[in-house]
Amino acid sequence: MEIITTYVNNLFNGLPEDERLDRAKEDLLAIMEEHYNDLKAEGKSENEAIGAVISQFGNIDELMEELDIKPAQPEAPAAQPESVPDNSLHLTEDEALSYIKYRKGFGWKMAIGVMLCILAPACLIAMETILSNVARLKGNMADGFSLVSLFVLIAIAVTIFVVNGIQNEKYERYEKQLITLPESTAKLVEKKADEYKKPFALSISFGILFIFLGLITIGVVDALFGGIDLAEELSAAGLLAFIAMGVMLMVKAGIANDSYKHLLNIEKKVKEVSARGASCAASENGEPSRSKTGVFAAIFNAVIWPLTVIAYLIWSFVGGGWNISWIVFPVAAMLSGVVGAVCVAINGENN
Amino acid sequence: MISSDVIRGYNDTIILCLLLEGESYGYEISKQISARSEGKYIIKETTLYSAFTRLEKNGFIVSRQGGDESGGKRRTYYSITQEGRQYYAEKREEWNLTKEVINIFIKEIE
Repeated sequence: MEIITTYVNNLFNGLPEDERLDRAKEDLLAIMEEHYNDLKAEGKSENEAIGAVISQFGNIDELMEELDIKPAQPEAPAAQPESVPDNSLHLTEDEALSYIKYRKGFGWKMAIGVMLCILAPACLIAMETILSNVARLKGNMADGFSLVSLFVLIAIAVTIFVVNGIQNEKYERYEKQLITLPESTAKLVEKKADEYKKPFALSISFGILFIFLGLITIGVVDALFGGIDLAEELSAAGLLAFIAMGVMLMVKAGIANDSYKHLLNIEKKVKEVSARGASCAASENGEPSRSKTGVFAAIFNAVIWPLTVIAYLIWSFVGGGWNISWIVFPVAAMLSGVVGAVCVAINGENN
Repeated sequence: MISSDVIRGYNDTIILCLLLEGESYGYEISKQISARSEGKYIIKETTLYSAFTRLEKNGFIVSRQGGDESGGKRRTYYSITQEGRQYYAEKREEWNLTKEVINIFIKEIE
């Protein structure tokens, strides 16, 4: 019964002071307690009884309307489990749109940076192979040139990341705070987000396709040109190149999609919390989970792919297992997919 | 599931019907509604309480504080007034008329 009392108290907590509300709360609790006792007497378990009573509670807005009491102001009713900052960020339509445009550019640059990072070792392998086998350059020179190409690419990628990061500071406040959009802007952003669903799906699909193409490359080349060192080594470079393109597509799409979600989800959360905070006691607890699982998935992905590439390279170069080391990629892809799906499922439940 | 929009107009009537049989209190009424409708309509507590408030405001019922028979819990007891009986009669007429009209347009599916 304490659980029921706590539940009701929480609902009434953010409401304006009014003796009619106090009386309503008392009467409602009395009814609920009798209901609860009745169910227990019938033999229902504690959980069943509590669940039945709470689910029969209803909507407190209805009650307030009947009593003609206006809901509390949206700013921070005290009992929010997740503290809603009073200074949620209000964006105008222009600001929201320019944010979207900026994030798309940001996404492209990040994607290209990541792609270069993956291409760099590919380039190393390719150049090494071509220079030493085809151009017949002496071993050291070939090594030298290929290393140079590796570092050049990585340097470019790092530069992009750094510049991107600095430019992003302008928009950091958008990331940190909850965002409120005017109704019409919210609808516009929602429409754009919907329109983006198809291109997003396409980008992701192609990205995955490219990765698979890369994996197949090794196999195909091995089958057709097996035994020719040149071909085998080039196919490794090819694998990485395909993966680089695939990852680029996915990163770009992911960042763009995320910017829509950021503007909208956050906005939705603020609306929910302020207007229906009382009736959503349960779902409010989903808020921290949303960002937690999202962040976890992002971190997991950010970590696993470079690790995978490194593992592959080490296994191949040091262990000499070019013919089977490619397996780390499908394994990593599967893990990544599972983590992503689990996080989405958790988000879906909570939202 | 009964649409709450449809039943909203008749929550008051349902409660008044039960009170015609005599004085009653919050939980008993809620329980009777579930029981007599055989679970087809389970009224939400907030809806019920809002209805009590409305009915009392309109003078169709009166309330008193009391304990239960064993002198235990404090409860609010409601009873119907003369105006309440009148209102009930009106709503009964209204429902019969509504039923008649809707039935014209609801055909049996063969």
